[in-house]
Amino acid sequence: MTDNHERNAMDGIDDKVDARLEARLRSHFEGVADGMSPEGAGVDAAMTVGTRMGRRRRALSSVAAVALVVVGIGAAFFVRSALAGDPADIVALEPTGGSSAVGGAVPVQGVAAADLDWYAVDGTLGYTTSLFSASDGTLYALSTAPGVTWANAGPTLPKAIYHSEDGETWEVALLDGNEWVTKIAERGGTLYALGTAPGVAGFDAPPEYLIGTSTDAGASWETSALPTEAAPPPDMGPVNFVEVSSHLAAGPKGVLALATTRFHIDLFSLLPPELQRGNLDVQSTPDGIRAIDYSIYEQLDMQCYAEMDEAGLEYTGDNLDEMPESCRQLFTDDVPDSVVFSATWEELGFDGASLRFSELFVATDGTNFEPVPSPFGEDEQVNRVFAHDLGFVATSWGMPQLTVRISPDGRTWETAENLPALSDVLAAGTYGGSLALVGTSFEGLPVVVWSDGSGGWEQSDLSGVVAGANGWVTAAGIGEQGVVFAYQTWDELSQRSTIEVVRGVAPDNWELVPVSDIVGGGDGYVEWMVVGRDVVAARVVVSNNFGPPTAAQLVGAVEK
Amino acid sequence: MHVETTLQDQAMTDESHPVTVTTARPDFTAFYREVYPKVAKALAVTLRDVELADEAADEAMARCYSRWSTVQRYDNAAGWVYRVGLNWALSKRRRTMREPKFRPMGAPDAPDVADPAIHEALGELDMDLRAVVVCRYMFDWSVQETADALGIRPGTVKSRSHRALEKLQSRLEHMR
Repeated sequence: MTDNHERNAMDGIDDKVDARLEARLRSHFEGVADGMSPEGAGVDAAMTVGTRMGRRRRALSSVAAVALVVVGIGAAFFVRSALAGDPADIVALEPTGGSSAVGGAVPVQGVAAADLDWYAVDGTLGYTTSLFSASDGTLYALSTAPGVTWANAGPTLPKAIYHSEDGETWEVALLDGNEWVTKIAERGGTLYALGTAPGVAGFDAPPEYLIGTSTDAGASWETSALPTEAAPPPDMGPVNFVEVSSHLAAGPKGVLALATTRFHIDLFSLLPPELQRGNLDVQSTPDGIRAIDYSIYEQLDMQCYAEMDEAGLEYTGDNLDEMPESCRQLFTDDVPDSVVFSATWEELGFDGASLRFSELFVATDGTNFEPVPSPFGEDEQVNRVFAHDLGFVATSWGMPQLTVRISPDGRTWETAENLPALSDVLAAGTYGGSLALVGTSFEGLPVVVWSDGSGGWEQSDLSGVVAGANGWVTAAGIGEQGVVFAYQTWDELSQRSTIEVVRGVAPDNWELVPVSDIVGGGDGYVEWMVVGRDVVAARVVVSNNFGPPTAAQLVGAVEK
Repeated sequence: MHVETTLQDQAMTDESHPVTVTTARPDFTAFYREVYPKVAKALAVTLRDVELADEAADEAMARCYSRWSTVQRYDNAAGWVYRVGLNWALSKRRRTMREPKFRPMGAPDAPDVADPAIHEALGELDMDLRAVVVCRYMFDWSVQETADALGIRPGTVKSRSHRALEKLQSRLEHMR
């Protein structure tokens, strides 16, 4: 090979022989490709396995992030022996668990939980956002409209309001002309709705939040505007889009509406000119912006998997110490070299606070919505808001863990102390005069805690109740028929998930619902759950080994 | 325009992390449908083992989905999948001492070998060279795209490409 030949080849100027060979190669590859039809395991399998890989990674990241916190809490949140309260007023189910407490035992009295007759029916409701038992015992749901499937849904799913007396038969009220409704709640026989008004033109217009009331189960609505003050930021360039989210909760202590507005500007244009190139992702931070160079992630990705494969290592979620450094950075999302630019709003000459609004309103009488100081930080992501007989509960994400706030009236809030570290809270409500929270611990175990309002929390011991571990509570409900939750775990050996539905009628009195026997298969998850006066209803989605999932509605009705 | 956190958005995401729209990116299902067959075929040619290639493509796609929020931002996400699949397959082959099992022509489910001489000549290339040839002439990727996909420098792509073509040419000369 001559120097000249080498240079020509390096410049891509190959000689005629190479050109003919290239053409022959392309022709050969086309022929080979046409003759093959790889099927593989399919996209569903890829997503299922990939989700499991991602969960392992997220679980590990979460555990790593809160390790210090857990150690700190562990010192204070010690285990005490069983509940001292007298559950004499509770219909006796066979006790299968215990409880532990900090700050005193919590009494659970005056409840009318009964034995339930469990069965499955074809589901009426689809994907559901708002779901609750109203003050008269009627179940209400804001769910996908009849006939709507993922395939024909389009960018947003048409919704409808459903109500049911028995959890089995649902009547529907279509939302024709009221598609703005995104959340519903009930108080004293009146349905409340919250959403944003459609048809506001342009990016620079503030969103209009609407409050609606209905006294005919959602068939018709009277609306008024929430007095929000969110407005496009001045002097920060054009707004790309406005992101809005809302929460609504109603109970004996009033109606609470939370409107969160984010104005998104063109962050890319704020970068220095030399950085305005491709493969950079510009993100907002609590203080300003930062630019991430994903090509560095890409290189690290390559390196990680090559090193992992070379060493014959498999990432199991709890063996990060064995992983190469490249993988440790990747899996903990700690890739310092990827941040190629960061600046505070002040350094950029802007007021970052003008981009984000968290506005809270309370109607103690159910009619007049007054703005009250929001306890949520501008960058806090409010997860869920619950109303119950004693007030309100709100959960929000902030590093390193979930924050739970409680309020007697929606106006004054305090952070719940002495709780175990939770990754999520699925239900909050009163049962037997005590406030109960149902969620998942960072260790992947179900958690039910109880409070009598004195500041302490008692945790039910569920170790002898659920068999699985390293799972998630996917749905929960609290009502007259007890505290009920669904716990999903993944079995590596069988590559299947297991659903456990558990009902408690006292902090130390739990029973397992044989959900697998009832719905004909346990590989799936429970999507939603509601506990009413005389009934428990839940939607069980069964996976069917990567085939099209099927859904059944699980009903637990008071035995008559 | 107001971007509401919709029912569908909420179904697809953790409710605790509300949807933030930045730029339009392909959804995974569409990406899978487009890329999986190409990667599986390319891996089959590179590895000369159809079954191992299918397994490797499955594994790479699952890893891709587990990191989809990041991988979808890559300039050549298909290249990432190809490389991850190739690494995984080579690792598995080393661990299991598995021999390539490219099914012979005429087998009921064998891929059609369009040019037997080319097929045979490719089989005599080192894996590194064959991977470059596949990227350049089966995927039709540029030098830079090939370099990104294989995690090597563009200059290395060019030199490997040249060496591969030279060897192929030489081999084909002998086969005349």
